[in-house]
Amino acid sequence: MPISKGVKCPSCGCDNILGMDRCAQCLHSLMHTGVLIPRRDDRVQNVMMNKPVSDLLTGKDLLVASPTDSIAKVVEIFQKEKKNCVLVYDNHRLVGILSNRDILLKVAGYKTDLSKVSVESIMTRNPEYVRPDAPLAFVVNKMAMGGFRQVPVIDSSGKPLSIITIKDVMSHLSKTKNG
Amino acid sequence: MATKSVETRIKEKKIAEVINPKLVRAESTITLRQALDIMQKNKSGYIVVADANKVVGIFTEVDVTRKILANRVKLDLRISEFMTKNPSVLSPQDTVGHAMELMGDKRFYHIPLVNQENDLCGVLSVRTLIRFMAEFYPTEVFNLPPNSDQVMESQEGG
Repeated sequence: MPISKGVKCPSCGCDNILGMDRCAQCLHSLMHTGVLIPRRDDRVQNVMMNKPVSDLLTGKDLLVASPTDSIAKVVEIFQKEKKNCVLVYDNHRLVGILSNRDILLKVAGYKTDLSKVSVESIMTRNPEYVRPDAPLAFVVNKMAMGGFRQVPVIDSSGKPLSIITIKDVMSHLSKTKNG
Repeated sequence: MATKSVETRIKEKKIAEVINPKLVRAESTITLRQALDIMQKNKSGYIVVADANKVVGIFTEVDVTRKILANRVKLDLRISEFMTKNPSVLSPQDTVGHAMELMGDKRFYHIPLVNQENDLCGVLSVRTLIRFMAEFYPTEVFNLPPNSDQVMESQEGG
């Protein structure tokens, strides 16, 4: 039995021998100290670093379109379901994501007949996604870096679990903040 | 190392300190077509509608898809008929924590900012807030592997 007496890698969780410069598994630096452990009294910091994305998921926001569906159909669904974002799957594989923003910036006002515009032609291809066990800080970083307001949550077999939105994160953090 | 907790810093930080100077605004008399042009040119998902510097509404991408495209509304109508009237506003002196609450509860993407005279002076977008949050995690977050479940096949290369 391996005795866990070393340093746990903050990135991949691998146990390392105490005093190593970097994690043997993922090369994450193990030299910096202090910042990695959230203060116990800092609720926001604790939630950001320890709470997995899966805790915030409702599975309610999950819409899936095919690349050949028309934008007219998506617009109708968005209106009816009050949704802002749809994942695009082709043969059980995530190929894109389509949000209100894509519709506004790429077709609104240019195209008159939205039933002739396909989802494929304006979707954002190969979107960034997260796994359900990723910490909240991870999805916050993705949103900040890419300017995304929605990030799909995909399990390891490629199945969609949910879409996590920037609003889910905000409302969770503000609830945390107020205890 | 900072001594204050993230929680405290969020509660103390003023919106004015984090804000992005970009503001997309227009008057309520413009047409939908002009509004779409402005949004597309600025790549913005919103327009703050203000007459004589007073906020009268906000027009967003959600309004575009749900009210205009879905109902095939003619684009020469005025924006004032379709905007969300009298939106919630904040002051640049309010805190980031306060803005997070408002965005989380009411589910807004953009909140217009007004000064003491009630004049429009900026906009706070949810993406500005999330960037502010991400700044607390420079080392930890940026060094996360591209896939959170990524596992290297061997301990050492070669």
